[in-house]
Amino acid sequence: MTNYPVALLANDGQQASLAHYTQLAKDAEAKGIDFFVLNEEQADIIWEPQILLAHLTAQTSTIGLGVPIGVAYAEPYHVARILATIDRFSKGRVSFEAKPYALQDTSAQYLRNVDATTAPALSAELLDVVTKLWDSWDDDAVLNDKENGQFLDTTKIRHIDHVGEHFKVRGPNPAPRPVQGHVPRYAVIKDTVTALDATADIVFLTGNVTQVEEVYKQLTAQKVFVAQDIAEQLSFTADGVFITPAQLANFSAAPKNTSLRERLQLARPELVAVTN
Amino acid sequence: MTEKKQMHLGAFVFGAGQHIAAWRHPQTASDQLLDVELYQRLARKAEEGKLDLLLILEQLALNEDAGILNGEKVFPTPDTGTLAAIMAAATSKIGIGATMTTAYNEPYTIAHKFRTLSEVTQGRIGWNMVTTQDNKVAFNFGLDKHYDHTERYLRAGEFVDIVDKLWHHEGTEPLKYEGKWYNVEGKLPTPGLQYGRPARVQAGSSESGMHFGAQYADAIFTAQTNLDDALIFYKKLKETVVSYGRQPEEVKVMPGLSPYIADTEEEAKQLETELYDLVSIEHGLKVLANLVDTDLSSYDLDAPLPLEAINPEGSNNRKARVQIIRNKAEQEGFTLRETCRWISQGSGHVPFIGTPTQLADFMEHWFTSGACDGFVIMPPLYPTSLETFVDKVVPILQERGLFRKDYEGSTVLEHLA
Repeated sequence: MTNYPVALLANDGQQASLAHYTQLAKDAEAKGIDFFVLNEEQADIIWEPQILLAHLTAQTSTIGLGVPIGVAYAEPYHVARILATIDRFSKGRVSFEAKPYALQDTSAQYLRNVDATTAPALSAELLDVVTKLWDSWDDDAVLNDKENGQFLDTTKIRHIDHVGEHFKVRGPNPAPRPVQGHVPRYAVIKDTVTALDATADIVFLTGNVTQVEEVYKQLTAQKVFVAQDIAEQLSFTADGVFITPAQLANFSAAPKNTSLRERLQLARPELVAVTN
Repeated sequence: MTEKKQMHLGAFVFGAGQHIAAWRHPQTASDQLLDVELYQRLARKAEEGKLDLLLILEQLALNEDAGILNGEKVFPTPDTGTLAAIMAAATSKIGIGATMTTAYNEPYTIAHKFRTLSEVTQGRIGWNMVTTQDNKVAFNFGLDKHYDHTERYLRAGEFVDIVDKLWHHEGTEPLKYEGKWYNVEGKLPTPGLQYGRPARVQAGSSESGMHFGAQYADAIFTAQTNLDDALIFYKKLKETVVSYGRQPEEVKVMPGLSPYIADTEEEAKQLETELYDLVSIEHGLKVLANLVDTDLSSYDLDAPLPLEAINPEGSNNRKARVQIIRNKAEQEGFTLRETCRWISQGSGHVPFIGTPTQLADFMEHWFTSGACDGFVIMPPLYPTSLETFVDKVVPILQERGLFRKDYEGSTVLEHLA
């Protein structure tokens, strides 16, 4: 494999401090890592993830970033607008993992009534609404025409009028379409592929060789990352590899200045033109 | 020797500037509204001026008039939590007040976000606790209408109480809160507050808003257009603060001030005119109609303002603002056209046109008369209006001993003390 993207899967530092994640992301960036990914099952993240992602964006300049977001208690309108904002500020470097629960699993913290059986469907609908909100603006809806006094071309922005089992959202998104079209979504899979995993854009396979081979058979359109240590032992060629923080010291590459999608060769979803 | 009392200053971050046509002005960086560079530039400049805090306002929905998207306005200020992290990375002393609504968020999420922001900013974070003014926002959260004015503030009181308790909660057992509006059982996963609690700001001068602010806020961002009203509000607010068992100096009253500043009065007036000329009266009219939830298109623009149509009680969302407009129009004998123009100038906040020295005199007069503890500067356009204020007005205030020459503390609460 040559020229493949390399991710750092951050899995150390139980309940790590903000300073720890920040330093790790900066170290990874300095070493030319393409994609800094927080693997929540290992990392036990205690910080609010959207703020964490914004903070890591502000503290870095070229590295790709990924954090897990608990979506079972989230509002699609907030998720859509916040990720679109961070994507724009990062110049298209960010991604997220959708966890169908809260990262800290005490559901009584929240007003919404969700349990393990309803969370997957709710989460799937939330992601659907988020995508619709991202697509509520054409890419060229911002005119910034000072002379004629038109900032937006409103024929290129639409309400979404979503009415579903869990959410009712009129839209549009209050921000332009993300740089990446849709902010890519990743999943970390050890041995079981959930419905949400199956629709992720990028997957990190963290099991042993047998588990990785088994999981791989169930995946279709994703970009697949495997551990650098076992990449050569697999029957397939992965799209990228990941290393651990301990392996960072021996790594070196030239940093990329592209969007995350570009460096992962993940196609940008284009909008089919819709007229009002 | 007693030290002279000093004022507190904030800088407002909203859209392309306070003026609704600011984005059209050649000096406005209207192509950078989603760029890190613009916001970090604003943050650094405000910090250079030793301001207490930046205040990032939240607008959750695009502008619409009767269901039709308004293409004449810029998209809303980007997510405030994100912007706070962006601005924090470029600064080390100035506070950052991020607005987040109590109406369309979970208390736990807000508590968690601000605890995290406290870490990100090392204590330089504040929360502007709003209840949301725009009816349409409800439609993005599964509701068919926004909560009414009174209910919003009742819910907000409980909401803020929960957030505060979550921030301060210690021990392994979860907090248990059974309220009228919210039942929450849980605790934040973060370590205990390292930098003290986030500061709290309140904006909105209605009766409910004032009580809410007097009870919970460290700073009040208020809309006052003349000295007499400001004096009355200040006195009333401080009395209300005391009625809740707090000291009057615990809450700083900071009216909004939208200054057109230039080296000469003529040049300052010219800037104001430039911006006025960029406003379509059609749009100013829509703004007013939106504020009072009434169609005004049948009224004669050059006739006196139809006061019967400008009814604060008819507004669910902006009672105080509508009252201000009505009072001003009556006082000045405004036509409908002049009212629209006045709204465009400063949206019910204090507009000022003049030289740096004149502005310093104005601010000193309000401050020493007891009308305020400071101001929130609302630059008509970014970034130049803020730069002029910091470069030319702050030094005069500092020289007069009215404003700090350097930061002493490190957190928002320390700056506001």
